[in-house]
Amino acid sequence: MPEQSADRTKELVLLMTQHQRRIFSYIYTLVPDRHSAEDILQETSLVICEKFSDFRTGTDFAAWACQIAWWQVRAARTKFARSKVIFDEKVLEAVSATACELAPEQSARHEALSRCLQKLNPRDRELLMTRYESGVEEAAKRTGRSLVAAYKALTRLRKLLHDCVTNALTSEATA
Amino acid sequence: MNAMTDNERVELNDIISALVDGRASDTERARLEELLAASDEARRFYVRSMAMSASLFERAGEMQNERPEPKNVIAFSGWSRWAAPLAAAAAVLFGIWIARFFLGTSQPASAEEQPEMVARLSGSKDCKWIGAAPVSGDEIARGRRLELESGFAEVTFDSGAQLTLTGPATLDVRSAWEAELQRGTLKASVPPEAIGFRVINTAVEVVDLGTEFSMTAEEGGAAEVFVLKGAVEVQPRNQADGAAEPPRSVLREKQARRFAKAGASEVRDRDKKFQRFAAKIAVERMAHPLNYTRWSFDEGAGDIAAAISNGANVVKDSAIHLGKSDTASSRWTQGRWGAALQFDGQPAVQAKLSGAAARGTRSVAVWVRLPAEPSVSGTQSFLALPLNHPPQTWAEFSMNSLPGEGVLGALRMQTRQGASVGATSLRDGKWHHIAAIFGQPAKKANKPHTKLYVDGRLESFSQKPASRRAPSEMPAALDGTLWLGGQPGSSAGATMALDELLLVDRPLSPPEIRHLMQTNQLISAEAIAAN
Repeated sequence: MPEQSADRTKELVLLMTQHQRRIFSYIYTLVPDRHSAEDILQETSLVICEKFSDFRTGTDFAAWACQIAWWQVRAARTKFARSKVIFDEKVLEAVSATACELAPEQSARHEALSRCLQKLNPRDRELLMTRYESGVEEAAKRTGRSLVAAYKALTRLRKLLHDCVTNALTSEATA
Repeated sequence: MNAMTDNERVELNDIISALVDGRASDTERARLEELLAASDEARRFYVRSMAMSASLFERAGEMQNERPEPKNVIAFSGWSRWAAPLAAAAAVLFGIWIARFFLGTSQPASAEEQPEMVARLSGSKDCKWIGAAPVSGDEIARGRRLELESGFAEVTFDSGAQLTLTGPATLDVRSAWEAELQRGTLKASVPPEAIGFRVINTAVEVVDLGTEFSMTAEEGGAAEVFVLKGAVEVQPRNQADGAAEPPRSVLREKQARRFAKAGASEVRDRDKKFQRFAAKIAVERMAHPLNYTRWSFDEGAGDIAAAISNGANVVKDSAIHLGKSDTASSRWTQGRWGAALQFDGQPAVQAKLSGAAARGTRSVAVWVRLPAEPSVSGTQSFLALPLNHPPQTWAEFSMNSLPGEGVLGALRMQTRQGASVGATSLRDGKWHHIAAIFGQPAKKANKPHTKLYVDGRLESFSQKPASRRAPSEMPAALDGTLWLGGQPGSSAGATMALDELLLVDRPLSPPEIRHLMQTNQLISAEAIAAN
């Protein structure tokens, strides 16, 4: 990697911190498997660091980083050949286009999600957060549900949160 | 198509949820692609849903890091010198979540997020499948749905439980210990080593107590359970969240019960159905040859323990030299089968292995007797298999002495990829049969998944990757120096006894491991089933 000044490194850390979620979210949307998506994010982060000298301060960092992520996802296609974590080429492109189109609303949706989580009853909230922390089996165990009941509840809760976030954004827009 | 129907919206949400939870079937994945290709609305819903899950992963990670003793240990190994300071700065400034992505952690991803193989299609007859068609011998991943249109399919779970499906039937493979029958008929055969195996359904949960039973699931949600041998524990399921759990009960041999939303009841045409289920289903099994190298340690005297090899791609002429005759004589003891080797802290012994350079998934089986009293030398590795990739690397077996990494005294297998620690303590001065399956699966996309069996029972074990950058491949070429009774190169050895060491060039199935343990004879699952 080329030598970078301390200021430039600071800028990189700051930008990565600000946009990490968005980049991860973009990769996870294209490769819907958390573990694989994290691996691709790691590889993407490396390329971003290597190519950071190409990035022009003041332009859209997230868009630039997602472009790098896109190529990392494409490169991973060969690695994932025959596995189920990746879409067909055409669908991949269409989903990527939609993800880029919806990128501007993502921060607002993330904020709204916090408020919507607060509205859930505590048992549902524990199920959901435990699932994302330790997996479904642990979540089912901790909330005294069967695995099947946990899957059903998670499906219901995701829809509930999705609608809550969308409503929150719609009402903010019309307010 | 652009706008979605209400039904499609519900369907899409269900599929995305299944996808996020790692349980989407091939059919569901194909359907998702179809919906995403056809509708802009579907794509928007999908992108927003996945972004929401990404946000939730982040939140959950933040919650975890707020806890007093974070599990994350940052591993710096293998990173270029500038990435580490950068990530360290990020970690200090902005929390460990960032560092996790820069550097990875020593914490394994939860098992359900890896395509873990938990069962195998071990036999079939006249099978017609809906969706992706597995063939006899194929491994089956956790979360996979098997949709059999007609015919018979036998699935052997890694726990040792065997389910024979009669089509039309739909079965979700949940883990090595659990399956869900969505519809159709199955017959379960569960050996004592797999006691605790569960078959669930919307109407009932059946926990096996070592038995044979049949179960039918109707599309409407009702299920019938027939116990052919032994006993099962049944629990009617109530889908309403928060409702009191109905009591568990035990069904014994020749008993049957019907479970529906309305409650449990008698089975109609009981005798006729029992007769039908009692009939043996003859499935066809592929013959999988067993190529192996075996040290029986039955010499009982002298300074050489000889090996017997059978088949291709196995280690040849690998006699183990026990050292000078005066020290060699103290090495022999009474074994689990005939004589065995005893180690009392003397230097380890070795044998050159060559001839098994091909890569693949392999098995090792051995009887071990470890001291009941812990000693420093007793916790040394007692068996090290050379992997030779890179040279001078081994798969080392020992008794776990690190309480932070799992049960003390349990079987520990250490490779460059990390450590796997079992759940059963071996520290009791008795003979235990251990078997490990390791190496790189045939399909390169599949991650290697080590499996450990102690006394024929699949061990639930904790895995500690060496680091996120540890190589994910485990070639298991078995080429180099095999060490017994101590760490490679170490002058002080372990304290323990070892008998009937066996290296096999393919993964052994649970029935093969069980048969080997019970009879000391290695024969294929096909031959066991034919007897």
